[in-house]
Amino acid sequence: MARSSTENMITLMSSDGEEFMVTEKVARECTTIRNMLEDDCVITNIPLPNVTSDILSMVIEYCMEHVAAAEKAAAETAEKGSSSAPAAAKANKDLEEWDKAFMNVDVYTLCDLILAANYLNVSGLLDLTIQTAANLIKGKSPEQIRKTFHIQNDLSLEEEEKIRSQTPWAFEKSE
Amino acid sequence: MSPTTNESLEPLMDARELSFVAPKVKNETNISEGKTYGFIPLPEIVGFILLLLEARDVCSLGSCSKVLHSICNSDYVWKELYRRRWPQQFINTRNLLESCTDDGVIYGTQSSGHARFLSVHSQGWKALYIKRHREMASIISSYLAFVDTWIIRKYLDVVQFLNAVKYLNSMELSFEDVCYVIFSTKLSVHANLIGLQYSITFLGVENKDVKEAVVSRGVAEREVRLKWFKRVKYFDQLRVPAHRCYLTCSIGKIAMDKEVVAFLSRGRTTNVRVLRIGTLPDQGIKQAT
Repeated sequence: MARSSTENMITLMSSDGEEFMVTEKVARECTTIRNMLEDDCVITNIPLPNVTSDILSMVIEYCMEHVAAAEKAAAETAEKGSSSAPAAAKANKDLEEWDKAFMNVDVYTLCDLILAANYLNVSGLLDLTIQTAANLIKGKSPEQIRKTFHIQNDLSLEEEEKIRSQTPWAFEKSE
Repeated sequence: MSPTTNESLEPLMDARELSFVAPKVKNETNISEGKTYGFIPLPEIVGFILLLLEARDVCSLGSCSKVLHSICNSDYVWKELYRRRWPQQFINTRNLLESCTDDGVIYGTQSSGHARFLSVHSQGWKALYIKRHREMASIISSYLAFVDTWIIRKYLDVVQFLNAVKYLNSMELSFEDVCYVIFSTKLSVHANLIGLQYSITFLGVENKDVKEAVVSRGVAEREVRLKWFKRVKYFDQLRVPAHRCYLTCSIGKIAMDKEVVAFLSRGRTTNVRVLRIGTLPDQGIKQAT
């Protein structure tokens, strides 16, 4: 691959001024950055005022892992002429496992990751984080959801009763 | 449309009553490390998540706080929930809406039913969803109450059982209809089993999903007893009489057991005669009210 030798490095700057050097390929995983690069191809330093350094490093980690996985799959396909189904399935499974481990974070980090994934437009990461958050909500009672996400209950008892009485079937549980 | 349906919609709260302004969450509990917001009160995040949830979870989330309530009442969320649960009805309703409103202006003469429909719609898709749910629930419950009258001394014949399952199919119930209405402790365990059998054989729902649903609705522990006669066997000229077989199983177990479901859907065969589904002798049936 001739491209990799001439690959540009790009500096991403987080809101707190920390700089991250990444390859262009990794940066292109973020649609927002890809669009910037396409608008102006000489750009090498991109400030990201909405993302803190710890979150940005996680986003980069995610992008690197996924770029590496895609490259590996492409290389294997090129080598053998055609991709072997079991190997591809295994690689997918490995990546899924990695994603799962990657999502082992507290709700605040998860929240920041969703915002960052949305801002940088990393569709894979956005889907992953949103699904993780949805899974945390599924099947839980309002009380459990509040506890999980540290939500302050500002509803009065009457208001809560009124809301619940609209859809009593949704709150029906085993007695 | 019965008048009761209309009346019961009255207490619906208008989402607009609650301001959509995200409240500044006071960090009284000091749980976060210097963060000033809780996870959820960010509308842009919740907007994404809501589309992955089912109606029950949206309701739970919507009763967590004021701002969540107003987000979870959004029209687009309930429109999507309605579309997913009743795809065919969704198209009809949408067409009906388009045919009688024009940029929100109602024109032409309408029947009272029509007018009532539009008055419900003016409250948004959530009201339509709730109305439709109530209608479905009342139709399904009254049919299942009728099925319960076929139960003789706690036993329901498999032929009638399978007829009921087929009838549910003709009503085109979705899995959510089954979860919210049929998997209920208010209905008989026979009804629960009819819903389970329908979900697996007609809707093709995965066994683990059915299991999860019956557990969350609190009917997994209820037990049924199957009773049948095994075929008469002949040894030489000696006729061995048919013998009675029993199987006691909980709803949760049947949800995971493909064999029992297949056994039930075969119904009466040359090998299995007079298959009946009943409850344990000491376990009373909680009849539908």
